[in-house]
Amino acid sequence: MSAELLEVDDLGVCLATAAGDLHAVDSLGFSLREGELLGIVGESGSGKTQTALALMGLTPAGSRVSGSARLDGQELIGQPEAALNDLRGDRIAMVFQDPQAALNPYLRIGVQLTEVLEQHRDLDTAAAVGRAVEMLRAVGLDDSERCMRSFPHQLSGGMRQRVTIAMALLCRPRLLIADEPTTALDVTVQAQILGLLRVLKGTHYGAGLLITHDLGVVAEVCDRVLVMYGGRPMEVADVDALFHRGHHPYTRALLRSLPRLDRPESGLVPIPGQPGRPTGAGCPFNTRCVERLEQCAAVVPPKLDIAPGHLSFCHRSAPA
Amino acid sequence: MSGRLVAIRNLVVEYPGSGHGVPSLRAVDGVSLGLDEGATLGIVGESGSGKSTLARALLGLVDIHSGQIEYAGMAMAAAGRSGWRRFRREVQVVFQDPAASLDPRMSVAKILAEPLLVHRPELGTEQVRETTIARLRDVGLADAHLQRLPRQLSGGECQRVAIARALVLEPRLLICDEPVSALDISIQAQILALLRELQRRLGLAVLFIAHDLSVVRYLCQRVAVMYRGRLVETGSADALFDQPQHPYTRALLRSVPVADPRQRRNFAATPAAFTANAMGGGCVYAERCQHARERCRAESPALEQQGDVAVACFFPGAEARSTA
Repeated sequence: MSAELLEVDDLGVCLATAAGDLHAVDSLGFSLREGELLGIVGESGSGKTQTALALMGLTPAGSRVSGSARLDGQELIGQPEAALNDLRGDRIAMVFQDPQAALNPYLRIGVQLTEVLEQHRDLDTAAAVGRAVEMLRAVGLDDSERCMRSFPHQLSGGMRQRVTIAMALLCRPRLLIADEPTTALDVTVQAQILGLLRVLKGTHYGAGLLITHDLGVVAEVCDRVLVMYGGRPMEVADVDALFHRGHHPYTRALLRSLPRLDRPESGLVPIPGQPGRPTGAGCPFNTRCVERLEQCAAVVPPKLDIAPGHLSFCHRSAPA
Repeated sequence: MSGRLVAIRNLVVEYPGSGHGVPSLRAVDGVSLGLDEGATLGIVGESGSGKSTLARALLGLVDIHSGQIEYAGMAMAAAGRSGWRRFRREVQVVFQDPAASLDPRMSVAKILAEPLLVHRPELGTEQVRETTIARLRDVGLADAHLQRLPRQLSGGECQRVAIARALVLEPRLLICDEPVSALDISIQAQILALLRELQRRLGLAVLFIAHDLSVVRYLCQRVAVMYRGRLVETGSADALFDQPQHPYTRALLRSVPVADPRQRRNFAATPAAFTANAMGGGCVYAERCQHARERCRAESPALEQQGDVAVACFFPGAEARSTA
């Protein structure tokens, strides 16, 4: 077993679209240590969701996934469906944005939870119910018996998202992937769910990927951050380094473009242009970058070691 | 520029029940608000707080149960055809989903010309064209966009077109209902900066509805916080954000993630409970309030001035004192 819980190398996801092949993820590498929560931040088309789907073996039909992703040393990419079915819900689990869509509206919560344990743990009904109730309590659904008997529509949005988290954690996965888990929720409920993800880490799951467009969410709960743009990594760093000593022009531009509750007087500086379709040549951010150099459009940027654990993919070796 | 542009008094809006056990819902419950000429007012609240219903009632899109709405001194309930016609010309709206608010079969040129054809029939073709091009440039788009269809535009461009359409009639009041929440961060910043620039340059009054408090803080001078149909706190943005008095406003502000890991709040993993929907006579927030006492469950607090803000709470600032 390697020291890293998850190691991703040269991951690529190529989607077949009407307009030709789309490199949704290209040359992506990162790793995840035990007990770590890594935020993956990006705008639409950055490849953050396709990265998660590639790890889960859930990329759309007709797509091609290349490269390697190893969970505790075991390769995930290119595994047959049967092997993936054993992994998913057991050693890797995922929480989606819309809990309403993630739950079956016709089945009681209890049935949906125990079915996971019957699939992966071969538990008898009583033991499965016991474990499901225990997990519901762990996610703060104290009235777990009533919750087990409820249908999804009888729960609030926040409670439904707690249920999908409980479901994902039933088998104590090594890796939890949460894709925009709080985007559909009110801000007070979002705070509760983020608190939960933070508290359950280590005890109920090994390490996590939190995919989000919200830098505030990342700053609140993540240990490290991967910033993506146009399918490529831009920068990887510890949260403190990224928010205070960010190197990549995109990272710094993103931070300047946020309206801030804590600093209302600081003006917001928008990034010109809009996220475009990845082209494959050069740095995908070059068309919007105010610090662009001549080679940026044609040559893929080198990987710069800024500090231990801090990587930036940019032709500029120091911020302009 | 000053003077009251909009006055809302004791507004109540109810959505009828289904007749099959679903009871009627009081979406807006006794709200009074004012907006001055050229001023910006943000309305914040979570889903179900009634913020969008309030805007719809102001626009005449939902029936009012009771209360009054006045626009530029005109009581809208008694306004006739010409009154509403003037209102529809002077009050414009920008919605959340720009793609859904633009007719997919109309070119940008047609979308921008349509309000002029309805409200300014005296204008000639050339004047219409000049006006639409001028507004298009105001929102940062070029003449080349005129012949495009909405599906040929990005989300940010669609929202710019929607803003340009709202501006062609030179409105006095712009109502924005979550205008940036469907957009990417970098585009959101562009639209926010554009709205702020236009508001200042044109002296527009803006009613800005949003769930994102940082967005409201960026754009609005005054803020009103709604919870379950009630106005719980209102005041200048500075006072309300710096010294919130209502426990709900405080809870909201504490929940906003800050993009700085050095200011982490370490959100607690608080449990969730089934809530009873039955509304008693007490404060709407009593059920969730840590400081609720007997009186809060029995009586409903009225909005009262407390320094720079007006707050509907029997024990305003209670939390500040207990944690001080």
